[in-house]
Amino acid sequence: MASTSTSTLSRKLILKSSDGEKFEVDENVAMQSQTIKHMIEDLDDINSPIPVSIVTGTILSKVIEYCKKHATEDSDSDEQLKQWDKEYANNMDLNTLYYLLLAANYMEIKGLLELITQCVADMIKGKSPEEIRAHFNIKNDFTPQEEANIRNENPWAFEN
Amino acid sequence: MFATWIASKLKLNQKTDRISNLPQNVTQQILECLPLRDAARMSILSSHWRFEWGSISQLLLDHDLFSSILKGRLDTEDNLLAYTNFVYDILFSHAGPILKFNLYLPYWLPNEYDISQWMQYLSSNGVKEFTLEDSRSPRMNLPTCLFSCESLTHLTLIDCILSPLPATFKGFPCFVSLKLEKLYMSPGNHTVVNLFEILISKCPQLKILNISLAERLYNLTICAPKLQDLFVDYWFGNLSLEGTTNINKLSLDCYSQKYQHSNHMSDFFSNLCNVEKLILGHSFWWGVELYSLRSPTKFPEELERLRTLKIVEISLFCHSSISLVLCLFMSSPHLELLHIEATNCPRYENVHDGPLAQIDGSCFHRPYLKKIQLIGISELINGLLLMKFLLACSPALEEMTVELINFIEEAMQYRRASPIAKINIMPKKETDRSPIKVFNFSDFTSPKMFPKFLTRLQALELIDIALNYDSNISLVLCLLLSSPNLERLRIKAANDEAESDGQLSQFDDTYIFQHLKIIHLVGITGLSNELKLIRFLLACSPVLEKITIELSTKIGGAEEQVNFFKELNQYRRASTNVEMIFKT
Repeated sequence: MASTSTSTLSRKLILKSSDGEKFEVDENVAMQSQTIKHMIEDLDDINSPIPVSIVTGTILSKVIEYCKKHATEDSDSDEQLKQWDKEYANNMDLNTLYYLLLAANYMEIKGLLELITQCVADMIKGKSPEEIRAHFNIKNDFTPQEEANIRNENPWAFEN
Repeated sequence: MFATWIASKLKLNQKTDRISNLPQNVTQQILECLPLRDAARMSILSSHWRFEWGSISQLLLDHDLFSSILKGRLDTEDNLLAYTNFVYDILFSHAGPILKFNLYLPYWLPNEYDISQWMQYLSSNGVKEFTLEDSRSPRMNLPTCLFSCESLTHLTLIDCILSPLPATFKGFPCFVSLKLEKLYMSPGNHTVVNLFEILISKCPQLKILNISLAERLYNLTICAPKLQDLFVDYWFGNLSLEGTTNINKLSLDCYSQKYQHSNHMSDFFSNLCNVEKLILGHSFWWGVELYSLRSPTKFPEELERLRTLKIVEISLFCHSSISLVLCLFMSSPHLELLHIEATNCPRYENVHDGPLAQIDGSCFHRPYLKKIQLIGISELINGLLLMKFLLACSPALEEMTVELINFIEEAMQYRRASPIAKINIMPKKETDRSPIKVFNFSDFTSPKMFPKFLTRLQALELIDIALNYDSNISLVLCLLLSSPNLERLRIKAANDEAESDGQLSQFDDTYIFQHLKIIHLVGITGLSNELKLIRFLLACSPVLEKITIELSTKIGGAEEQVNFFKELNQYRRASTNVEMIFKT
C-alpha cells in the first residue's frame, strides 16, 4: 500500500501549453484539473506531453503554481491557505485574471475558478455602472432611452 | 517597426472587454458571488448583460438587501407594499431554476397569503436550499406551505417558531441539512419536543443538524441514523442520541441536567463510538461544574475514532471538569489533536476546588497524539499539572502551543515523553490585540540561565512580543541561554509605538549557540533593543546558516531602512557561512 502511494506521488506528467511550452509536474498536482484527470485515463503513453490547447505558457505556469500549493498537504492551516489564495489573486492584472478564468473553466479546477470569480465579483461590488464599464472596458450599446427603460424595470437596483 | 506593432497590440489588448466574452457558466458564477442588487445593476452595462442576472440560480433576499432597498421609507404601509412588490418582481421575472433562496420576513407582518404564494412558486421551481429569517412581531407560525417543498435539501430557520406539523406532511425525503438558529416553541405547546422528534424522524437522509434554541426544552431524543454532524446549543433536561450512531462530528454547547449523574455521562459518551471530532463548549462545562466527578475512569466503551478533541471555556478551578477531561483522554486511544481553552475565573463562587494533588499519567500513553494547544494557562497549579501530565504521556508529540498568562519557568522542565516535541510559547492574546507588555516580571531585567537547561528544546517561537520592553528582551535571553540545543528561533515582534525604546546595555556576546542554524525575525522596527538582540545572535551563533529579517511597515522611510542595514552590516558574524535575507 505504502509503496504504491509513493510511486503515484512521484509520477511526473508533461503539460504542453498552446504556445508549445512544456511543464513537468507531479501527477497529484495535475490531477487537480478534472479535464487532465480524464485525459490521463484515456492516455496510453503517460510520457507523451498532454496538450492544454487553449492555455498559454504564461497562464499555465500560474495555474500550476495554484495547483502545487493546493496539492501539498503540508502544515498550512486553512487560514494560511486562504491568505495565500488572496495574495495570489491580488497579484494578477485584469488580463491575467481573464485568461485564468478561461483556463480554470477549461481545465475544470473548481477551487481556482471560485477564487477568481470571487475576485472579479469583488471588483464589481459597490461600483456604479459607469465605473464597471470603465474598469472592464465594456462598451455601452444602449441608447439613453433604452437605458432609462432598464432603470425603470428594476428601480430598486439603481436607487441610492 | 516591430516595436510599434507590439505597442499597438498591447494598446489594443488594454482596450479589450475583459469580462463580457466569458463562457455563460463563468458569467453566472461571477453574478452569484455578488449581492443581488449589484447583480441586477449589471443589466444596464450593455445588451450582452441585459438579461444575464435574471437566470442566476440563487436569490438571496436577505436582511441587508431589504435594508438597502427600503432605506428612507418610514411608513409601514409604504414599506409593506414596496417589500411585497419587490419579492413578486424578483420571483416572476426570474428565468430558470432557483436552487438557493433566502427570505427575510420583516417585523411589519407581510401578508400570509403572499408568503404562501412565494413558497408555492419556489416549491414548484424545485428549490433545494432555503433560508428563512423571521422577524415578524408578534411571532407567527411557520408558513405551512414550507412543509410541502419536498425537493429541499438544506433548510435554515432563523428566529422561527416550530409549529405543529401539517397533517399532510410527508417528510423531506432529500433533506441533508437542517439548521435551526434561535428556535422558539409554540407557546403553551408541551408536545413540541415530539414535534421536533417527528420532524427529524421524517428526514431519513439527514446528515447535518444544527440546533440552537431560544427557550428551554425538556427531553430531546435525536434519532437520525445517517446523521454525521451535530451541533446542539442551550439547555436540556435530557439529551439523548439513541439511534444516532454515525455521528463523526459532535459539538455540544448545551447543558443537560441529567449529566449530573455520572453513569448518564459515561453512557452518553459511550454511545459516540464513531465520533472523530468532539467539541465541548462553554455551556457544557457550566453544567459539569455542578456535577461531582472525582476519580477519572475510562468510559465503558472507548471513543475508538476520536482524533480531535476541542475543549472551550473550561474552568480549571473545578475538579469535576478536569476529571471529565481526563476521562475523555483515557477513553480516546487514537487522539491526535487536543485543544484546551481555559477560563480563569470560576463561574460559581462555590465551585473553586483549589489545587489538585497530582495527576498520574504514567499508564496512559496516547501514541497518536501529535499536537496539543493549551490556551489561557495561568500560574494556577491545576493548569500546570495538566500540562505536565500531557507532556509525560504523549510520546509522539510534535508540537505543543501554550498561551500563558504569566510566564512559568517551571513548565519548561517537565519530562517529555516525546523526543521531538516542539514547544511554542505565546503570551496571552489581549482582546484589543495590543501586544502583551511584560510577563508580570517587573524586576526581570538581568538575564540569567534557568536553574535547569531546556536540553531538548530545538525550536523556539515567540509570537507578538513587544521587544521594546527590557523585561521581555531579558526573558528572550533567559530562554536562549537555557537552551543549548536550540536549532531554530522565530520571533514575531509586536512593538508598542507609544512606549519608549529599551535601556538595556550591550549583551555579553561570549556565549556560543552550538546548534542554532535558522533565525527568523518578523516585524522588526529598528529599535535599539532589536539591534542589540540581532548583534548578540550574530556574534554567538557559529553554525548559523540563515537569518531572515522582516521589517515592519512601521519603520520609516527609505533612509531609515538604509541606516538600519548599514548598522547591521557592521556586526561581527561568528558564522562564516551565513545568508542574510531582508524583507520589507
